[in-house]
Amino acid sequence: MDIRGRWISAKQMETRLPTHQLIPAVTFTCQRCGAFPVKGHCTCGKRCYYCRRCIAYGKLRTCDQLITDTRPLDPVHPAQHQPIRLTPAQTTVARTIEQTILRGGRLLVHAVCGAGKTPMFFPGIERALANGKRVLVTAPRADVVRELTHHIKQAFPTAHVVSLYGGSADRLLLGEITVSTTHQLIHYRSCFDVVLLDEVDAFPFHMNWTLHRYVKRAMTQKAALILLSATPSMWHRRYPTVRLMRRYHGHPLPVPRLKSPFTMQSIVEWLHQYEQQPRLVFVPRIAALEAWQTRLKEVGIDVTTVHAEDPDRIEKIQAFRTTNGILLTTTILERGVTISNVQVAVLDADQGFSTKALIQISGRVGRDAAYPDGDISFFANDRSDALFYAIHQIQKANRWTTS
Amino acid sequence: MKCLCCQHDFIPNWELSNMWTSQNICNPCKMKFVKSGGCVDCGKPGIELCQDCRRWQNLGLPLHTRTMYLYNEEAKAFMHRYKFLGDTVLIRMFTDELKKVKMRRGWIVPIPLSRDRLSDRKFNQAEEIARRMNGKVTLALKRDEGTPQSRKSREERLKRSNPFHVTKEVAGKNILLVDDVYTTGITLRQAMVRLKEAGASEISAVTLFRSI
Repeated sequence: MDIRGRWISAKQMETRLPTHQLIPAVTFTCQRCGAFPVKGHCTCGKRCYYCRRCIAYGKLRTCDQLITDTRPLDPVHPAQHQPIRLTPAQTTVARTIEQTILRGGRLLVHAVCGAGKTPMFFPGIERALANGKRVLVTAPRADVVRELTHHIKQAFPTAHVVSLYGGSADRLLLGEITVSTTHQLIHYRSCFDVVLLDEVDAFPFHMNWTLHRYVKRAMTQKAALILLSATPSMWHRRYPTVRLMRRYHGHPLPVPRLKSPFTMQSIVEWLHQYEQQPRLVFVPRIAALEAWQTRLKEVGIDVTTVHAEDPDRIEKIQAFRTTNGILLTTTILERGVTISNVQVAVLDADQGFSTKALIQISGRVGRDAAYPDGDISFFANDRSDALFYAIHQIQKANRWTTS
Repeated sequence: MKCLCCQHDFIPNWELSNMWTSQNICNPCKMKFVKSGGCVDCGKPGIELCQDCRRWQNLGLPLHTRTMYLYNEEAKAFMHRYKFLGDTVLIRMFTDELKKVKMRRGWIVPIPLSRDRLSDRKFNQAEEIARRMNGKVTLALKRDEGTPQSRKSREERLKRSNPFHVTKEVAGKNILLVDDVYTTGITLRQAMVRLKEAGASEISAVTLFRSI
């Protein structure tokens, strides 16, 4: 097995070559996950412990070793992308990304939900490959990674694309273009010259310094890091920023309508108003799902509920795509779902929703060019800063012009 | 304090009554595990004496087994982490319950692993459970090589010949067998038969989980 640029447990490697290098696995810090280990006492009888933080990747003990191959990586072959159609605004952003990739350094791409972020970095990837740079496209969520892989494989049919996520077949491989979840980067050290980091503000990458470290370690010293987000935090806004506040079909973002105060009657009216379309209803907590379900059942409205710990949530969401039903959900569906002609309501929008979540939820509406506007309603009985900031930021994005 | 199970912070309940208990998991994690109880011999819920145990009694092999928790989804997840990922400290979350098992005069005998499995896994999960109990742990059994049991059906398990051997002098000893999961009870009975042959006097068993 080729392990250049990767550190794996020495137990997984049978053969030893002179170019192989071994280091102790868990010392003062865990050498694999890079954190102070949460020590679990080992049962081998010696003075030994293992790292409990990264036990999901296999048990790593103090008496184990990590192994790598010190030979340099293979050169990268250039590849052309399929012709794509970009709007003038998108082209400007694409050119900035391209320049950053060539120059090295960091860039934040602040583009609204549904702006078409994926095709914007294809010219950049092409230029990077032509210059012999290895590309990593990474996102914290596996479903996003699967979707990105699909897009990139279509756009670059000749390039060697590797897709890494929990349970993928390409585990521990290194391609010319690597698409990966941030978690899988735990084994990779200084391999990638260009890193495109999608959904930087998403859970679990947000505020998780271990995952930040994985990405940082996987980059080479002069690597270009490009962050893509619709709702970047203040922390990420310190980077040089390029903005794109217009959707790819050119229509403005639907501005949320605030219904305050609201009663049961107004919700029922709203649900009846869009009888012919699929309706997504967000609630703040898992506990609220059942309460709303019974309350709506009393007035004769059948709803499906879905939350993060639901075992058949993927089937439920897949079924929802094809019907004109009502889906009651927590914030798990705030990103990564594109449903044509969907109408969205947020119940108790003042309670427990952050600005980020509300902007992302509003971004579910009108993503399809055939149905560029839909209804997004915030039902709230009280006021919260997050609510008004979200509406304000969406209005501000609509006022934005290329300058 | 960090919960051993979910790794989140929690505030232990400092009262005089639980001053000497190791409160290393949070209450939500504790509530996930359901105490077993019902069948007097194996703890199968909802029944005075279950079919299996009655059949064993007719065969002349009654074994009083104390099972602690039901083998529900949470318990399966626990066993996966503990046994197959090798997160051995996780067993400490059951310390308080396991400490209540006392064996003053006799021996606590964990069900052994075969040599191959032991070199594979580097620890015996039943021994780790036994070490947390009050009493003298003695490795008095040896196991022949064989295929792992969790893949086998009930019929295959019953047909299988006895893989255990007694390696120590057990004549006249009281013995407490320890295993992780009780499914059909065949493993414990096989060990019991060998120990009885070697002359052990009274044999009972404790397992952590009762499969449902």
